[in-house]
Amino acid sequence: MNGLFKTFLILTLAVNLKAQGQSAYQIMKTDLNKGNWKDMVGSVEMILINSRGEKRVRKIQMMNRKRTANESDMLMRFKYPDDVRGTGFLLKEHENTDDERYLYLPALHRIKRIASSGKGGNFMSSDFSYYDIGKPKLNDWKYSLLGSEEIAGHPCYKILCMPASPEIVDETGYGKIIRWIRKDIYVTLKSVYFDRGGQKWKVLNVTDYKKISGVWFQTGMVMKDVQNNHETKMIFKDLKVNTNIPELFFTKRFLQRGR
Amino acid sequence: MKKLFAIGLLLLSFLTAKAQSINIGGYSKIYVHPNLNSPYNLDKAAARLQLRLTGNIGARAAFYSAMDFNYDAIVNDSKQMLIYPIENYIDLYFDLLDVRIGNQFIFWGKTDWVNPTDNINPWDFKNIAAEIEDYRIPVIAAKFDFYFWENFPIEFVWIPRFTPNKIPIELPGKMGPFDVKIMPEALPNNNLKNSEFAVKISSQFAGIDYSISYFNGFDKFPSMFSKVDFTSANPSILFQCKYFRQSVFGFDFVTTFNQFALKGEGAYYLTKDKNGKNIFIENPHLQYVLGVDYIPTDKLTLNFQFIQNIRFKFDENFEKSYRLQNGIPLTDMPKGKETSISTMVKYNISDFLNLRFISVMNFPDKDAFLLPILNYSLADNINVYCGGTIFTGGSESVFGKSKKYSRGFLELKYSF
Repeated sequence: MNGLFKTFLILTLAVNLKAQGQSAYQIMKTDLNKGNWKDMVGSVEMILINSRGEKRVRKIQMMNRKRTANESDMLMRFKYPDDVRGTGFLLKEHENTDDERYLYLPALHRIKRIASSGKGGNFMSSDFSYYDIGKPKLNDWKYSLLGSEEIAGHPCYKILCMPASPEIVDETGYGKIIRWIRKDIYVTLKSVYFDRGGQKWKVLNVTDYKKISGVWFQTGMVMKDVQNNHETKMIFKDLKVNTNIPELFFTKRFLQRGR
Repeated sequence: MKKLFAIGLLLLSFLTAKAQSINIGGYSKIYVHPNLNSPYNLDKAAARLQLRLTGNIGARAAFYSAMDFNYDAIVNDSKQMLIYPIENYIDLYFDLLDVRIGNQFIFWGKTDWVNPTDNINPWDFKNIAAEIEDYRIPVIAAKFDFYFWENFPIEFVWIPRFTPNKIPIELPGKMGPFDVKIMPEALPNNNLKNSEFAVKISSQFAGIDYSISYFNGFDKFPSMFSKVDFTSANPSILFQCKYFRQSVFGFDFVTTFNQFALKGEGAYYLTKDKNGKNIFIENPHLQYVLGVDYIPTDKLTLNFQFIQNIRFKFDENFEKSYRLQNGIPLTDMPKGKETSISTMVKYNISDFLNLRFISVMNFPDKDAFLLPILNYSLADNINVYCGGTIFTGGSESVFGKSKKYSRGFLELKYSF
């Protein structure tokens, strides 16, 4: 009898855990796939603040499009500071092979293909990694629902994301992520990133989000690296969605036009 | 030159009037270049303003114009204050064609610092400094980028007028019993026959970006001819720089693998001295570079390159005996094979401070060119650069000969 009870208990727990896991997966799926945006264009202002409070500002014009469900293209042009104005960057993501990264150097009129420092590498010296700014791939992580908590007065799902494979840990540098997703509109309001050793590494707070063309976008974010006491504020402006950006804009031809 | 300048100004005024959007930018800087050889004089103590004007004329045309205004307190002659154009060109965009016409830089190649396929813009070896316009010379050219086939863009460049490299040529006043005289250099006539052209086809295969190229033009390095002149009372050796046409067949590639970029570039130079029997003209040769970039962390980038130049039809004994018979010094005698390595380290010490260290070393002469640059960002748009262009090696080696041009630099630059 005791044995039967134990088996029942284990089975019930397993079913519950699975249900909870699916639920977390569904929440993440809704968060990641909300809206049906194909491309977007806008400008980004990044403010880098070091441990002494010293600031540096970067302004970038940015275009992004989904090429396939799991692949996207991104074109960026530096607008400020003026010593790097005109520098361009083209990223072509590939699902099964290495991403292509091209840097356009205006003084040389030359496109240089560059290696990556991994998707865990910092995006333009900020505290955001390339992985952070890209669209997370749903199946890179395994999800569990930790419960509900309020962030800035909004009820949120608290989701634990564990890497689905050791490769994801290598690629991102993250051992786990905890996300708080607003229940009513499925927008991540906060994330805490832990390194592979389990130590808290970075904290993302979403300070602003807007509904543009029916899609919710995080338009203000602060990423703080708590280990290095460094933070980056990222503000999106003039964001436009689904404007049918021509394919030409994501080519080396357009990159080297430099404007 | 003045005529060209006037036409350029007129054209710029017209374009500015027609432009829908105009941006003014550029930089100003003050800089000192102390010579690194005793008595450590200042080679330059100068200020520069660069003005750049860019604009769009509709969606199909654009222009770019840059001028430098340079004042050097060390110079005492008419060159103390110089105003000179840098790049000035017009862009035209068509559906399957982009055109750029004007004074411009066109740099080819995928490796760093040493590019065998890069033969369009000459170098100014008298002035290796921080800005590209200091050590490369823009040329008047028409560049056509054809996009008829999506994966095979074709670039065609026509350069109507040949411009040679600027090279410091120093010869002793006397060689043995002979006086040494340098004749004016013999530049090719400025006509259509002497124009240069180049073509490049690029593509990608299995994640590898590659291109093949062809250049037909003049060797920008002079061939130094010499002969003994017995006609005057004092016999002398006459030296003269002449320029010869060559064909350059090039190939380059780059691919990335995780944190590595693998790249290579090579070119076969088919010179006028096809049989290697004229010691004044460069032999046919192959120059190639194989390199790797490695980015272990966000803060550090490493680059290593192996460089080799192989001369064909090269007979050392013939070369040596000809030189001995004709009183030509052996010091500048080329070698059948020359091997170098280059390295680059870039380290972001902090958000505001970064270090770059570039070196090129020749073997077996063990001479080197070193370029350390420390950049401190005082504020957005204000940078301080400190470093040096350092030549080391024996007095007869390639870089060792330039030892006296070793100099440091300290620059305060404001970009706008």
